[in-house]
Amino acid sequence: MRNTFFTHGTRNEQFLQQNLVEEYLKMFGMDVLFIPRQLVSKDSVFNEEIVSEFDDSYLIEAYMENFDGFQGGGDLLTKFGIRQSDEVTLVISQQRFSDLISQFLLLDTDIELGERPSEGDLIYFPLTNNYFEIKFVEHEEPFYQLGKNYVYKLKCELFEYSDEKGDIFEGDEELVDSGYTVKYYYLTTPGTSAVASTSLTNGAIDSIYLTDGGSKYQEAPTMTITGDGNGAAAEAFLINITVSGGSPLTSAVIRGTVKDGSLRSVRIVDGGSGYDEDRASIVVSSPNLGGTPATVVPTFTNGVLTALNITTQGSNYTSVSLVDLTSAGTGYTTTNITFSSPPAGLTGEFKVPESVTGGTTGATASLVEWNSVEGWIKLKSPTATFSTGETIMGNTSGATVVLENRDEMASTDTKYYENVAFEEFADDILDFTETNPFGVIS
Amino acid sequence: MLGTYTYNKIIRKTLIAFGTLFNNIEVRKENADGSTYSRMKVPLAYGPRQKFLARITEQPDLNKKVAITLPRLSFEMTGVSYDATRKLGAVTKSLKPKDAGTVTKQFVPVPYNVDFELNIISKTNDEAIEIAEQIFPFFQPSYNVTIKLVDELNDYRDVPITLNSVNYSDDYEGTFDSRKLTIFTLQFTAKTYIFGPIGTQGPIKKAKVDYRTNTNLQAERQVAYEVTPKALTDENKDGTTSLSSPITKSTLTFDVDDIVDIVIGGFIEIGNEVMKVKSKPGGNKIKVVRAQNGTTASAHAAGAAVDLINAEDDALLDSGDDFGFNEMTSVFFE
Repeated sequence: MRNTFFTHGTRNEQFLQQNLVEEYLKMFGMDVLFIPRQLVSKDSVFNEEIVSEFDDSYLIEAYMENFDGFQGGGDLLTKFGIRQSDEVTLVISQQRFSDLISQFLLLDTDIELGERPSEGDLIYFPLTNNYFEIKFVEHEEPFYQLGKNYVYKLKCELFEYSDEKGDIFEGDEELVDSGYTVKYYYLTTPGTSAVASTSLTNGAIDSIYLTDGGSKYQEAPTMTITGDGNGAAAEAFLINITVSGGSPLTSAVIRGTVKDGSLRSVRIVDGGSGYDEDRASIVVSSPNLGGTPATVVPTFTNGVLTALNITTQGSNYTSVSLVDLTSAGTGYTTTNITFSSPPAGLTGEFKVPESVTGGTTGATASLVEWNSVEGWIKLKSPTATFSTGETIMGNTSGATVVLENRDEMASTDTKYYENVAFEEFADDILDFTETNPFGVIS
Repeated sequence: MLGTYTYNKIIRKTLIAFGTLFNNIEVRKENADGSTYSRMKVPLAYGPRQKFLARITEQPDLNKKVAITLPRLSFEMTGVSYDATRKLGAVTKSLKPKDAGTVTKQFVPVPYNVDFELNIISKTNDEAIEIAEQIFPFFQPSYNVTIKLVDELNDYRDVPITLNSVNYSDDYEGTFDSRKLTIFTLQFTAKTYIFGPIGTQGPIKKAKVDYRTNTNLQAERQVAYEVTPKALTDENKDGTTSLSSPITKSTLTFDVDDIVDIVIGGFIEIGNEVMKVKSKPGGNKIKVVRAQNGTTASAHAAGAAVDLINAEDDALLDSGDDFGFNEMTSVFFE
């Protein structure tokens, strides 16, 4: 039995020791941010986290034990790119952690352990701008001086980021492109509507004159004819395809469907007759400035146009170039033609980052980058695919944008990331005329 | 000695084709109610790289905020070997039309196997398996990719990519100082073909056979038979003359604007119909046999062009065109 005339640490001695440790840490330590891991869901089969989030951070002073630099293997080139394997051992006060941080952690049900710093929590190291993950908490070093432990030694190594979410990472520019981002373009200036007028004969429309084809239509607008008569109807097209030459007996009639500026399908309304196959050629209307023309190859059978093959879809066919009068109507003395409007661009201002919701699909995503000059937003981790023409609204800012175009693969994290490069190279050499089972190969 | 410069970039193309297979793999996380929590496209890269480039692209400001981002796919070429089982006779060559008056020629390629290793790294077992299960079902045990191996030939070859083996390691034991690491290693073989230089030649436009009754090749030939291609339809759109008045599909005698160049026994094309000229009854009239060379008789409008089918059209025939034969038989008497 030990000698009872000597004390091995009274409470007051322990308080004094704790205070001396804290004073030392405050003098020679540095401020770091302690970021607790919120374990949202776990896999009970593999015993792994499924979803972790990092939302809060707490300032605490810590002493860096390895004062002459980071431990660990340094920067290594691995088959998965550069791995920076820095390690650090930080000493923090047990009492300070309990006073400053524990009380808040214990209130959060997503945090497994609130009493102590736990393995898996993060430390942000402002000196070098790194996120470290605590891999082991040593609580018995030094060993029970005056009958108590005063510090935690946090053995940390650099965090492996795997698209974890939370306020901490949302605004982090360096980590934005990790994961799955899709770039969506919108119109910085909205398009204009097409304008047309009519001429009437005996109360029926006999011609429609297109005075302005409008601009930036994603698909052919619908036409509405109003006036004092009834029954008139017309249809608009963004591309005009005709057969030139070939001295036909009757001319062919072709109608093309455009979506997102490209020719998607053609329909032979009437194949005509008596075409001289050697002398007949297909003429496709010109696209708007900056576009590439579509090309179509015809097949004639005994002088009748029987098939059309789209060899180039072209781009920038965004103005009305042809109008069909489908029904002349009766009893008109005046008419007014209106075309549906092309998509609008942006209204309001987004906050970055914020969550957004699609008006049609109901999908949500996180808006992580926004360029109002070039007219695009970058959405991260969409829950479903947003469609073009869809209105997307910022849940915090209330700003809305109509998607005009999307670039599925345009994650711009080019650092050790070649998905897009391989896609582009492969477009020239691969034949996926059936389908690519692994995904979208255009 | 080998000399002729040629680099068809076939191993590179095989590598790109292999890489592309895995460039659109996703990892999804779910909420407790089964709805999607997040989607993530798995980054893919060719593993080997120059060290200085890795450093300046991945650590331009000397530091990374995190150790690495996961999950990742990495692949590399681990070997190239000759495959004797797929070798064909070395003297076989293939000819293909190129452009007007040219045909490309190419001897059979040498079959080579290119071995690849694909590595999947992830933080959790579940993610690694999620990625692997998106890959496994397509390799039974091989998956065919159709690759244009040589641009000039425009020849698409099926290249089977075989999944040879799968290795899985989950390193979790030991002190808390070391990290848990989940890695799948998949070994593949792509059976590709390496082509040599490509030559060009003109299309063959004449074939001639000499018949002899003596095995002595110096002896006089008895009969020579020669064929040259003959145009079945008009090639040069000469529009020599035109129809004076419309004709129906059964009209046999009609007027043209100018009869001078039309030859009795020759062929003409009006619209898409080929006709044989039987006679010139007088004036600017011609008498024809309708719907020749597989064409169909149809009505034609006044002013429709009348094209002559003659030696000029024969000369314009090119590889890939449909054609008939002009024959010439010469008999030699001693």
